[in-house]
Amino acid sequence: MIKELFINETENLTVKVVDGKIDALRTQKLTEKAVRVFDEENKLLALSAGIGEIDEKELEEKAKSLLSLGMSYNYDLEKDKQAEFSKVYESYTLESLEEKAKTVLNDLNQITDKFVFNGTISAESLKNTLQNSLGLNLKRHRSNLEFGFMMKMKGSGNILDAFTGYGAFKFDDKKYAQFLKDTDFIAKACLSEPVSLENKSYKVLFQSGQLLSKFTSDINSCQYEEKSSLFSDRLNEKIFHESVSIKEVYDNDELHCFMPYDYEGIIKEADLDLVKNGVLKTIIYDKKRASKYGKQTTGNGFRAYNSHPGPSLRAIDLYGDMELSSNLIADDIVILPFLSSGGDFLPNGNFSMPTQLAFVFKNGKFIGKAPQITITGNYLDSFNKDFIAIAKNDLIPEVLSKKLIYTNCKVNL
Amino acid sequence: MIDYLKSLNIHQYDCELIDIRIEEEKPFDLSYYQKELYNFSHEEKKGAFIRVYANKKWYFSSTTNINNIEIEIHTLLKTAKISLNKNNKNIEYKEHSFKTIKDDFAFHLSKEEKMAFLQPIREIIENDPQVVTPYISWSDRVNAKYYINNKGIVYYYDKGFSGVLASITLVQDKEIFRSSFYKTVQRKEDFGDILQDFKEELEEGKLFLNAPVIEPGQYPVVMSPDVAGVFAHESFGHKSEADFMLGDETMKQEWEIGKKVGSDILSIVDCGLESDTTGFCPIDDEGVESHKTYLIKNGILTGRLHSKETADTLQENTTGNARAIDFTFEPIVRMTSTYIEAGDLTFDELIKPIENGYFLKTLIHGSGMSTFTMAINKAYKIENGKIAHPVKINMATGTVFETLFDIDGLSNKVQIKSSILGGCGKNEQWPLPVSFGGPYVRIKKLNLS
Repeated sequence: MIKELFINETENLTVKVVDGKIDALRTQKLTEKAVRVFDEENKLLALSAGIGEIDEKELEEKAKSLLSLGMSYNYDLEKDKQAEFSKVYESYTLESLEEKAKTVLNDLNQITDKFVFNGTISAESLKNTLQNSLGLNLKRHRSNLEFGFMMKMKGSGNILDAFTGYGAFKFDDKKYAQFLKDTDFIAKACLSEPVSLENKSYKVLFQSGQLLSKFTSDINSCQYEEKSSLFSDRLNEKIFHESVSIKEVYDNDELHCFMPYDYEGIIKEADLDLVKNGVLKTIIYDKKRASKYGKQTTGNGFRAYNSHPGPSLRAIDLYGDMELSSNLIADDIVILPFLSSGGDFLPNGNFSMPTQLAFVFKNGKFIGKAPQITITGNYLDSFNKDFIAIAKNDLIPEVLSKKLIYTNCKVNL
Repeated sequence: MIDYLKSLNIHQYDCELIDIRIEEEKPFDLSYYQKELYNFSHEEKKGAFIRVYANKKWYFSSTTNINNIEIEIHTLLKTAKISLNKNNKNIEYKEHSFKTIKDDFAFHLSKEEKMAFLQPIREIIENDPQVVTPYISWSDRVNAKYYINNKGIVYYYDKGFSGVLASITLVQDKEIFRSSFYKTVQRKEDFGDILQDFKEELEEGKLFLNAPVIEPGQYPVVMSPDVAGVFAHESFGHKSEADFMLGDETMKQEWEIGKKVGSDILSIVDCGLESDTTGFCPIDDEGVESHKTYLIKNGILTGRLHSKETADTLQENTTGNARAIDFTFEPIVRMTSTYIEAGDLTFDELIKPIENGYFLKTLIHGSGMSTFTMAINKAYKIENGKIAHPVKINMATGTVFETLFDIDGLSNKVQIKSSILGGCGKNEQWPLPVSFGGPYVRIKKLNLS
């Protein structure tokens, strides 16, 4: 019998901000623990999990009693592997975080008095442990500092009119200065007069996540292998414009990602090419799906503490030669959707993106906000016939994604 | 547990407010994916959330160590610079108890009975050649809350719901259609003829594989009770949560009670007293009892949802809407069970005047800000007053205040939908169990794409 132990220990300190002032201080301490047992002889496994001060032996006995349910596995477990990974640059007490919060709020309130800021400033420490009785012993410890604020324009009937935020492994003066600069731009842009637009196609700068969320499900082996992906049977074929290259990153400060191993014990040593020069290079697998479909795991088995692993991506990044977004938009009207909520994709890739706040640029200059619009298109077209370029975001780089996708799209008033 | 909370004598600290909420959860999840047992999880979680209010600031702590609550209180009091010394005051408690869990609730069934219950549905979904990646699950959500504050309020309440979910992905040639079938109940018999209902859902889904995509534009629509409920929750419910008005003096004039905000036939209600819905919250996480709150009555803005803090700030009555998702978070203003009240038409009467419009039957998700959006799953063309054929619609959107005035017909029966899977998200806190519903609702025009 093989035993596997999975633990997440989270300590979160939060300063809660209401109306631009410190309203509350919060401490959360949470331990999530799970034991899985593997019956090697019968190739059966079972899980037992809980939160709090739970005895491992108790979890193990409960898991053993559940082997009779007949949940099977058909792959080898990782063994004889020990490593510790850490990305802890700083730590906070509630008092020191409150001091940091006062500085942030003072800076925000100096930028504008036309908005109400509501949100949180959080410092978090997360320790993960993955061990098994075959000698696997992996540990990861990271810290985070995050601010997130809803910006409500005074006098507006909306729940929120804009947002701003900062997320990093530590406080960084340069990033923080950019966060303030972005917030200043967002506030001014949000207060600007709406620009007149027509029902027609415009050049649009999407944040990478806005268009790639469907892509991440289309390269999941569960969908790909069962023919419900738009790319089924198209591995190593050209699916996007040749300027499009996408990789999964595992240790990247800029993208705020630190996942050096997956939750099946596969240690990452390099980023993973997903699309290279427009060609689909990788479908992601965990161990179970890899075994089922006769493939190798890509080290993408992730899980919540109380469930079994399934294929899932870490952060993804667009890479390759790219220009600054400010250079690309120099000679036309361009729309940058900022606050889009509630949009979705149809299985054929058609999308509809209701956009509450978008910024309009003309000949490289900001000229005002857009009226409320719905942007429609098909994400395959956005990376093919409607595609213009991938751009490095130098317009609002700290609050929005680092890379932008520049494409033609239909704007509906 | 209540005796333990009383024994802490929190009323003897010299502090403006202290309260403690202990929550016990027993989530159970059983699922099959791609014809195999995929997950089996039965946990017992217990934790406490402690709040101290002093010197115009809140101090919060959450812990899973229930025996450590006194130490947590002391830590918060020290941070708030409040003395740890106790006085000898006595207190008379006002106790509330809402025990809703009964012996015949479905979550009491054994794991073998739950597996057997899913078996006939599995046989259909797993053997249909058009279904790929079949997924089916049984889940239980069983919760108990124990609360005390230093003002003398003590309460206990519990609730238990069970749900079955089947995710259906249909593939034919290159066409793909996804839908979900789910039912949430308290008792096993409340599932009704679930097998027949599932078969109908599956066969209906196949009609959408080759359904035409609509031409984007503005159309008259009729929303089902499910869609109308999400519309009520997203379009107006979130705007009724009073915390968004804090810090902006102009909001009280903008959102003045008595203002006309919708058509004369429109009334929207929030009520936490419906014990057979997942929005059940008879007393909130600050110890305030729930009641039926009209947000809109006959088109007039009539009320809004409050925590004690927002009610105090806006000088309005409390409504019992301060809720937290679990013991790790503080209560904030949230909805409970939100619905549009019934009108007097039948479904046929509602669609009869529509020459060229759509019936929105089910949706995937919704959200609401200045505009509301609903990602539509199943919809039908209405032609010359009759349901014609299935269509593919991606999104329904509208401006809240225009659309509320465009409601011009309501059917005569309210249906409220509960779900233990997913829920409402706000700020850091997701998912909160809520429920929503309404009658069939006709709207003069809505943007469809």
